[in-house]
Amino acid sequence: MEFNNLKIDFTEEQSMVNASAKEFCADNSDTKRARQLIDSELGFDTDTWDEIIQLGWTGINIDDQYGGMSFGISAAIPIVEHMGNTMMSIPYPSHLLASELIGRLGDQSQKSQWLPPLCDGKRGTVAFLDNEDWGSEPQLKLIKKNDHYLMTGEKLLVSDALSADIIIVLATIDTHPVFVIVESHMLKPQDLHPRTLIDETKRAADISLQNIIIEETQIMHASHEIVRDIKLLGSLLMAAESVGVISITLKTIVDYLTTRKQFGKLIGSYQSLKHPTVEILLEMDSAKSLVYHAASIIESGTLSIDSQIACHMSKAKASDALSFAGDRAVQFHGGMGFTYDCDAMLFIRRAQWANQQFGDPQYHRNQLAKLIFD
Amino acid sequence: MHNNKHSKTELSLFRKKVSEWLRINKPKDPGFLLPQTFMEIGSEQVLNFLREWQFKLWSSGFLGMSWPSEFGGQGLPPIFQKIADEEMKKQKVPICFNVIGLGWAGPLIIDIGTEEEKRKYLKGILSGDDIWCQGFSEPNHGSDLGSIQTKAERSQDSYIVNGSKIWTTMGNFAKYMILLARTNNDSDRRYDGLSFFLAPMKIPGVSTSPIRKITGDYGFTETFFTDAKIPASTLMGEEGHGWSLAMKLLQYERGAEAGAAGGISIIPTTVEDVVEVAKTTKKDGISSLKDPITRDELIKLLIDQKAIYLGERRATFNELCMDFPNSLPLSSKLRMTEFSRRLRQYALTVQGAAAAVYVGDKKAIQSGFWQRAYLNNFSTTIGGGTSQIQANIVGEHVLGLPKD
Ligand SMILES: Cc1cc2nc3c(=O)[nH]c(=O)nc-3n(C[C@H](O)[C@H](O)[C@H](O)COP(=O)(O)OP(=O)(O)OC[C@H]3O[C@@H](n4cnc5c(N)ncnc54)[C@H](O)[C@@H]3O)c2cc1C
Repeated sequence: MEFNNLKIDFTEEQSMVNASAKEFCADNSDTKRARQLIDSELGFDTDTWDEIIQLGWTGINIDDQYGGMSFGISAAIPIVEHMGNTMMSIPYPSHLLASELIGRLGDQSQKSQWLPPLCDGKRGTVAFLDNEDWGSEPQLKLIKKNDHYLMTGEKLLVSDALSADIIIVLATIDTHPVFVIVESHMLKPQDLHPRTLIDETKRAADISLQNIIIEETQIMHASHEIVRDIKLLGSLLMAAESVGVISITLKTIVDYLTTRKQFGKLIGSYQSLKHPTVEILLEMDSAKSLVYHAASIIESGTLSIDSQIACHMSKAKASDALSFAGDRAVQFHGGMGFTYDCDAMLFIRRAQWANQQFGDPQYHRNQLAKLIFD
Repeated sequence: MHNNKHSKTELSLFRKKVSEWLRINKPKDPGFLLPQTFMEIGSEQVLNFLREWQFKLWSSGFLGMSWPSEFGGQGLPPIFQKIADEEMKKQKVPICFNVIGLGWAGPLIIDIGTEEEKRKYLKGILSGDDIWCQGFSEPNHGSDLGSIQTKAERSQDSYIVNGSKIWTTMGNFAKYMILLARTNNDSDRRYDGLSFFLAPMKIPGVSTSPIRKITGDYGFTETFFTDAKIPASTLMGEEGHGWSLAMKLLQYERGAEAGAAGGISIIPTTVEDVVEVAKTTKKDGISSLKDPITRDELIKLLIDQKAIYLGERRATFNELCMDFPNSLPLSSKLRMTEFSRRLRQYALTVQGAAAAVYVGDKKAIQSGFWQRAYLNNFSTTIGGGTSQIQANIVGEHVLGLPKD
C-alpha cells in the first residue's frame, strides 16, 4: 500500500486562468442572478456563454490544432471552482466533459469533425445513466442493421440536455461500451423530458431514444478504463465546483453570524455555532487540497492509480463537506433559513444535487477501498 | 535562493545519506518502554537514553541544520532538516526529547533574542545538555492564560518569583523554564502586567513534585516558586510585554510558524499502520479488511490523512489560499491532533476483544502500543491550547467571528 503521491502544482496557465476566472465570475454571477435564471427555460444566460467562448474557455482543454488552448482540463479547475463560488448557472462542466471525451477517445476524423465546433461554442454533454446507480455497467444497446446501427432505449438525468447541441451517449455493442455522438437535431423535442431538480439552478432531462439511426462515424469504441476515467473527471469537476459552493456558503454563514444578535450578543459568539462553522472551513480546506492535487496529477491518457485515487477522494470529501455546509447554513439562519429568500436554500439544494452527481461519497469510498485494499 | 537543478540532486544525495546513517545508527531496543511523546519522560534511565540519542543526531549533523552556524547549527535552508525529519519518521527512530527548547524556545530566541541570549542558550538546546520546560499553565488558569497569578517582583537586579505552575513537562529535569509571570498587578488591561522570562530552575526556592499521568507514567510536575530569586537579565524583551512573546511562542508550539530545530517529538502514527493491524484481525468472521464498515472507516481516515499532507503543500501557493488566508497554518494543530485522536481510537476498535487489554498484558497487540498511543494523544488535543480554544482561534482570526 504505497500511494503517497502528494504533488500539488499550480502552473502558470492555471494561475493566469485563476485570476481571470475570479474576475469574470464575480462580474457575471451572484446568488441574485442565479435566482433570476431559475425561471429561464435553459437555466443560463447565453450572453455569459458567449463571453466564455470569447475567453477561449470552451476549448481550454482541447488541442490547438482543433481550435483549443491546449492547456489540459486541469486548467479549467479554477474556472469551475469560481463558478461554484458565485453560483454561476452555466452548462460549462457538462461541456468540458463532452469535449474532453472526444479529445481522449475520438479518432482523427471524429476529432476534426466535432472538436472545432465545440471550441467555437457549440455545447456538449454526456449521457451516462441507464438507471439511478452510478456504479452500474452501461446497458443501452446499439443493434446492427445493415450498414448502420439502431439505438433504442432511455437515458436518465442527462445534465444540460436541453441546451446541448451535441449529446454523447454511453451505450454498448455486444456488451462492449461505446460512446455515441448524437447531434441534438437528430432527436425530436418530445424525446427530451425535463426533470424537476431539487437544485433549481441546474437542468437535466431524460432522453428517450426510438430507433435512432447511428452511423459508424458517430461511434467511439470505448473501454472499461475510458468509461471509468471520464466519470472520474466528471467527479473531479463536480468536486471543484463544490469547493467553490462551500466557500460561498461559509461566507454567507459568517455574514449572518457577525450581524445577527440574540440575547444581546452576536450569534457568532456562541460556540455551538462558531465551532461547526470552523469545521466547515477545515473540511473545505481538505477538499480543496485534494482537488488541486488531483488537478496536478491527472494524465491526458489513461488515469494512473494515483489519479484515480485523487479523483475519488476529491469527490468523496467535497460532497460530504458541501452537504454539511448546506445543512448548517439553513440551521444557523433560524426561521430565516427556512425561507425561499434565504440563500441557504440555494446551497442546501445544490448540496443534495451535487452529492449524487457521478456517485455519492459512499460510492467513491467503496471504489477507493477496492483500489487500495484488494 | 538555491539553484533548483543543482539542489535537486544535492537533496536526493542528502536524503540517501541520512537514510543510511539512520539505518546504521538507529538505537537498539533498550529493553524498557520508550516514550511516544516528549511529555512522558518519567525516569533518569529514559532521559539518559534519549539525551544520548539527541546528542548523537546533533553531533552527526542531523539536528538544528537550519539554525545559525555560530550557535551550533549549520545555517542550511530548512529543506535539509525537513528531509532528515522525514527519514527519521520513516525509520521510526526515537524522539528528540528536548522539544520545548528545540521547537519553541529556540526559534523564539533566534527570532527576537539578543546576541547574548543566543550565545547562552542555543547550543545547549541542540546538544541536549540544557533541558527546557515551560511554565505557563497554573492550577487555576489554563486556557485562560492571560489571568495567571504567579508573581515576579523586581528587587534591584533580580526578580523574586512566587506562585505555582502546573503540568510542567520535564519540570523535574529542566535547567531552564520559559516562564510567564505577573510583574504588575495594577495595570488596567490584565495582559499588560505579564512578563516573559528565560528562568533558571536549579536555584533555591524552586521545587517540583511529579504528577502521574493518564498512561500511568510520569512526565510532568507541579512547580512551586517560593521567593525564588532570578536575575533581572533573564527577562526577555521588556517588562510588561510578556503576553505578545507568549503568543509568539505558542505559534511555534502549535506549528503555525516554522523555525524548529527538527527531530521528531511524537512517534508518528499513520493509517497505514492501522491497516496493518486490521490485516491481523477479524470482524463478523471475516478479515477486518473485507468488512465493509471497517473499510469505509479506514478510507475516511486515509482521505483525511492525505488532505493533511496536501494542505502543507497547498499552503505554499498563495493563490490557492486566497479565500481564507492563514486558514491552513492556523488550523494545523486542531486538524492534526484531532485526526490523530480519531485514528488511534480506531486502531483499538479494529482489534476486537484485544482492544480491552493494556501495556503489560502478554498478548496485547504490539505490546499495547495503540492503547497507550490513544491515551497519549490527548496530550496534543489538550496541551498547547485545547482543541476548543484552537477552534475559537480559527473562528475568530480566520473567519472573523466575534469572541465568546
Ligand atoms: C500532557 C500535557 C503536557 C502539558 N505540558 C505543559 C507544559 O509543559 N507547560 C505548561 O505551561 N502547560 C502544559 N500543559 C497544560 C496545558 O497547556 C493546559 O492543560 C491547557 O491549556 C488547558 O488548560 P487547563 O488544563 O487549565 O484546562 P481548562 O482551561 O480548565 O479547560 C477545561 C475544559 O474547558 C474547555 N474550555 C476552557 N475554556 C474554554 C473556552 N473559552 N471555550 C470553550 N471551551 C473552553 C477546555 O477546552 C477543556 O475542555 C500540558 C498539558 C498536558 C495535557
